[in-house]
Amino acid sequence: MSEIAAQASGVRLRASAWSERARRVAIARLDDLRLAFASLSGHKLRSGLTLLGIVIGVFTVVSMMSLLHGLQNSIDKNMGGLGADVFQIQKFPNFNFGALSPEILRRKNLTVTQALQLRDLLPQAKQVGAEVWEFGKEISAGKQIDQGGAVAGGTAEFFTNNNLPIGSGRGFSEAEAMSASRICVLGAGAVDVLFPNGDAIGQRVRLGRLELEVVGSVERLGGGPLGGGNPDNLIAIPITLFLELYGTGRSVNITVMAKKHDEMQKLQDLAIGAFRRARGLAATADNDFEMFSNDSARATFDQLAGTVTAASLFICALSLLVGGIGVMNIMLVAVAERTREIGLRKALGARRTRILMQFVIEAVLLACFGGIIGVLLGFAGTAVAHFLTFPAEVPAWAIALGLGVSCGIGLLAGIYPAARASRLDPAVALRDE
Amino acid sequence: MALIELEHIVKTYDLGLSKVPALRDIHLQIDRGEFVAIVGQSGSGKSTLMNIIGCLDVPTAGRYRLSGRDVSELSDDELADVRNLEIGFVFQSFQLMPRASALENVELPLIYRGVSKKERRARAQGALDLVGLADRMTHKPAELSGGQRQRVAIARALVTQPSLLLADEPTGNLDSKTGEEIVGLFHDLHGRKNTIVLVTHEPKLAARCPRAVRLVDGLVIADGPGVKVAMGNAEALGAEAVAQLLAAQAATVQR
Repeated sequence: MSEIAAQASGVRLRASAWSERARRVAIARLDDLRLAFASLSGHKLRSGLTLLGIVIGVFTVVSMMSLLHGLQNSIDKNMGGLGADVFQIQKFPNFNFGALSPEILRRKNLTVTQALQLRDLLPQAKQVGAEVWEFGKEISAGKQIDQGGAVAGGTAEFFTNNNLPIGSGRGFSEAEAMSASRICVLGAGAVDVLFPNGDAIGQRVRLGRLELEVVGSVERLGGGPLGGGNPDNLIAIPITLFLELYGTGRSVNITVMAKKHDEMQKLQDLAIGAFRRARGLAATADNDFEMFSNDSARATFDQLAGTVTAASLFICALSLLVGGIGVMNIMLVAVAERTREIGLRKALGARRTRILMQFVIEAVLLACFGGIIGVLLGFAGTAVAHFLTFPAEVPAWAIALGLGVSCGIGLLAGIYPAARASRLDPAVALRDE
Repeated sequence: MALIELEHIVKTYDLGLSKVPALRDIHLQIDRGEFVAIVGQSGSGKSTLMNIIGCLDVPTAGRYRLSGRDVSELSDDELADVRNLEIGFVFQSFQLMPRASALENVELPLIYRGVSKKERRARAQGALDLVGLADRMTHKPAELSGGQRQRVAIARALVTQPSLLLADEPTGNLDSKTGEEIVGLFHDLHGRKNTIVLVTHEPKLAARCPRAVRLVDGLVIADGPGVKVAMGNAEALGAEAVAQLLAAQAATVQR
């Protein structure tokens, strides 16, 4: 044989030795897994009770994280397009746990008149506007029909306060907004549907029983379906016209823009005082309105989320600790019970690592079952929350965290009992009664 | 050819306060194909000797060669490999896994040899067939009689085709008729060129083996045809022989 051929066969030999080794390890681990399944299913009640701590721990973290994650998503949706320097005054709070209290439900509507009063009482603001919304309306232009559009009634400030730049044409003047002029501004999506081949400005559209002239259109905003509907499918009309069309018995939202972002907080404090006067509240009465801005909503939520996360992680860590101790305890019991079996396995040729792996895999499998049950219960809890119309969504990382941590716990808890088993003297272990 | 060579084997158990000698100076050679009984009362050191021959334990001093390889100073894992490859154990209390079927019990040593599931199954079936349990493969130990259980254990010992079959009081937990059957099976296996070492306290059993070794107080005091070793006035012979051997040993140490 030439030298090259000899070398080549040497390489092949080494490669095949390696794959033989890999094959043996794979067979061994598969056997260990089978064995662990058999021995766990032989003690169903005991295994189940052992798992309780881990199940509770993982359930807590998964369900809490899904509630927080869902809340976060719903906040991001509800924030919509309020500009960064803008805060809003409204009748009801944006986020609420459970039902609204009767005091809140008894609040009087906010009116356009109050908005105009606030404008006079708050000269520190850059501008004060009012707006009101309807959703899922039909707009038509000739044979073209746009379904499901959002209808906004606004003052002249509507477009700037909501961060909706005018793309072509114009917005409303103050006079038009206050005199129910039959005009409208369309979002880019509405223009696409109603006027597929041409300019919308100067055309007429029908909204309910009214025919309106299009005076402008908003720049295309884009945004996916996760952003809470298509923000481009919009028709904005003067607020007075809106109230004429859909009824006056509704509360308006008042939007206030600061001159500078730094002044937001100060301006909100001033606005509370000014608006209490506009509402004619007695000095001792509580505010009968809510203030809301992107910043404040996010800050309140983040604070809450931080506390809840910390608390649930603490509960989770505690239950996992208890669960881990439980797993270690049951593994020690298993090693003691199965001393003779271990002796026999060693007598039949099991090396230390085989015995070690057998018990470690059993512990990991046990803990992992706990993790899986915990995650499934977390999903069940989320489904219940959904049923109660609470926004909840299990984040992928919570599943990974739950499963990963429980497997890790199993590993940690299993190593010591498994090491004890692997070090047993076979001659002594075989005689164990 | 010698399968087992024991030279000056000493085993002392260290109990902290005192050292207890279990084996004092054992010389023994067993060839391939032999059927040897090791007899002795309890406390004679026969269990210790069995553990050493079975590589479950290592001697305190002396040399043990199995199939020509020195195994007296191997590590735990190396001993595990030797047991797996060279030795098939049969225990007094059968030592079967209660939840596993006869077939799965017999497969067990092959698991530690890295044999694939399919091949394990085939070889275990062959071994059970050999001990006459072809129709009981899926039975759990609890569903088998004592004799059948010991047959399963023997099949498990045979499945790896070991150089040595090492049986520790294999009839101890059986009634005499069933015990007879098991002894018959061992004779059968001996006829098929298996090397068998049988540890027992029953002279009657030893008498039926071609060769027997008598152990008293950790010393070999008789080695010869089974009938002679077992049936001589065992105890009297034992006491006298031990005295002689101890004197001879003392003399060697002084010199």
